Amino acid sequence: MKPLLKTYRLRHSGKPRVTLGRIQNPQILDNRVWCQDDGGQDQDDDNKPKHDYLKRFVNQFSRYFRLYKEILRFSFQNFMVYRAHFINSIIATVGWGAFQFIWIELLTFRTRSAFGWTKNELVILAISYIIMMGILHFFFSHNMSRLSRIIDKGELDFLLLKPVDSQFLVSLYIQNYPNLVRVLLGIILLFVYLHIINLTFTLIGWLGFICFIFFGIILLYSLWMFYCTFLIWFPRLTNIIDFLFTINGMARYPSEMMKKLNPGILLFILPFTLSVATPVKILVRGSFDVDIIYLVIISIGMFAISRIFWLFALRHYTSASS
Amino acid sequence: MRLFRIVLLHFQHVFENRLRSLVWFLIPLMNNLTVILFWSGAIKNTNSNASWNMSTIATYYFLLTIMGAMLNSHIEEDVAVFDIQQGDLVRYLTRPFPYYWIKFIEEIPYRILQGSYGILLVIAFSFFYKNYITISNNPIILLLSSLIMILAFFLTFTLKMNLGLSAFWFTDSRGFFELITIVLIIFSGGIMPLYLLPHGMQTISSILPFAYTAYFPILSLQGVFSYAQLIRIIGIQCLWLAVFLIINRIMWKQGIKQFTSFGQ
Repeated sequence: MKPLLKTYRLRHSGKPRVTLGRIQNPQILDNRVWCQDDGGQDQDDDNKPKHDYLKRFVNQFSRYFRLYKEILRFSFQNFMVYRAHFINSIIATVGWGAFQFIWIELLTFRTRSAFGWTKNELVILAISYIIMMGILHFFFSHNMSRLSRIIDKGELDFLLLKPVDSQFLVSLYIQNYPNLVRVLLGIILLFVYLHIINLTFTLIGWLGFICFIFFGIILLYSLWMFYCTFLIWFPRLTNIIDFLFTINGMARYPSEMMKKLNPGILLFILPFTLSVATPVKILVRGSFDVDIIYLVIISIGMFAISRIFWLFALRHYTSASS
Repeated sequence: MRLFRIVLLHFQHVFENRLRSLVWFLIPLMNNLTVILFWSGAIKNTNSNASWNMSTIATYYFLLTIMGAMLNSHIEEDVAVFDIQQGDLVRYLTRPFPYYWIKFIEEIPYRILQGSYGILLVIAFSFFYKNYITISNNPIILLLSSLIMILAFFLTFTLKMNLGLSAFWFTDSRGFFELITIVLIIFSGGIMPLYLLPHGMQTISSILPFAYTAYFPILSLQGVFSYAQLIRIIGIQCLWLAVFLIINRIMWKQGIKQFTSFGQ
């Protein structure tokens, strides 16, 4: 009789170390998208030419895309089940978004400029911060908050056993829909404010702004992932997430301000400020300065580092109640 | 003696997770240090009165950090989520202590630990930058300021308790808590001193109780107020505290009738 479990080696830790059992025929459990595809792919692997990387990449991409669509649907249903929580989350999200605007308006109430940024530019920086934080919180931060809990209770085991990249699942398992309202609020505020102060921008400025917001988000995600990975060793340090929220707050300030700090602190904080200040500089000044190169290099580099660090940390994960 | 032992037990619990408390302290500290840094670049381009200079800015935000750590209670989520929604209130109801005072005893060690982090920080900072931190050296003002700080703690604690007790009626109050926190930050001088705000906001803040939880304790420690003004502040704090306590009693008496718990 064919055995139900087939032994295999874990892929998520980078190096094959652990031998676990995998269900031979995933369809017997359910028809979830990752099980179906993964089972099929393993059987096909031996027949495919090894150099067919592009096809494999497209297959993997479409597989993860379908999985992400399921996650989006699941998260939306999850939020809609608890409607009071959903409405409360929207109120809180909009409240904090509006607070950022009120905060900068009050702080610059008697100030004309700071660190070479005019009052209007500082307000646009704060509004862009609202948009970027909305995006970050929609995709990632809720999952990072959850990470310490699932590590502490041993629930990370369940994610590691799934035939999907562990970092993908850990980072995107829940999508925080109320934060889309914050993004919307930020976009409306941006257009209204630009209309009030009569500022017009070039097409290049807008395109650069949108493009470098993407790099900024990658950088912020990588930083969050990097710091949250420490939870594998210190699962009780749950308020590291609150600390990250605070450090993120540095992104509301001009990057020139942080450059006044000593190099040790600068290294720690500058990436956060670069992530928001650089796209805004492109928008309001239309200038492509050296910060853009820094942002691109740091975001790609930090993404790679956070990935390697996660894989390294998983080798030290000692399962439930570690 | 029995009460003292209970307090010591809670101290043990708090010290067990002292690194967590340190992180909670570092969060507002980082925020306030960043604001000081911002003002260092903005002050020369600011139309403000002469009293707002780097020395008063540093003193204000350092004291704000200490006041936030020492006086700002965060009991609302504990009361709302763990005690009322998850049913932990049952174990408090069977104890021979009023719920308000048990929670007060639970909260005190957190405030003392985080407040001591703040005091250590200010001592260290004053050692290196002697002229930046200016606190009154008049013993009567210090005594009255201490009383204002104690009342400020009672004010925030009772306010947050009342917020937590609202969970008797609402299934989810997180949005409401967050909104109150935002209003509290703005009108307690959490962004900048209230005298630098627009006049309309100054008027609103004088009506609300929030300024008496952080702004007035800070300014009283700096020696800005006369004795008469300090006594007036104490009087208003007592008035607000009485209002909050009455609300607390009403909410507790009505709310406990709504509470249901299960178990064997």
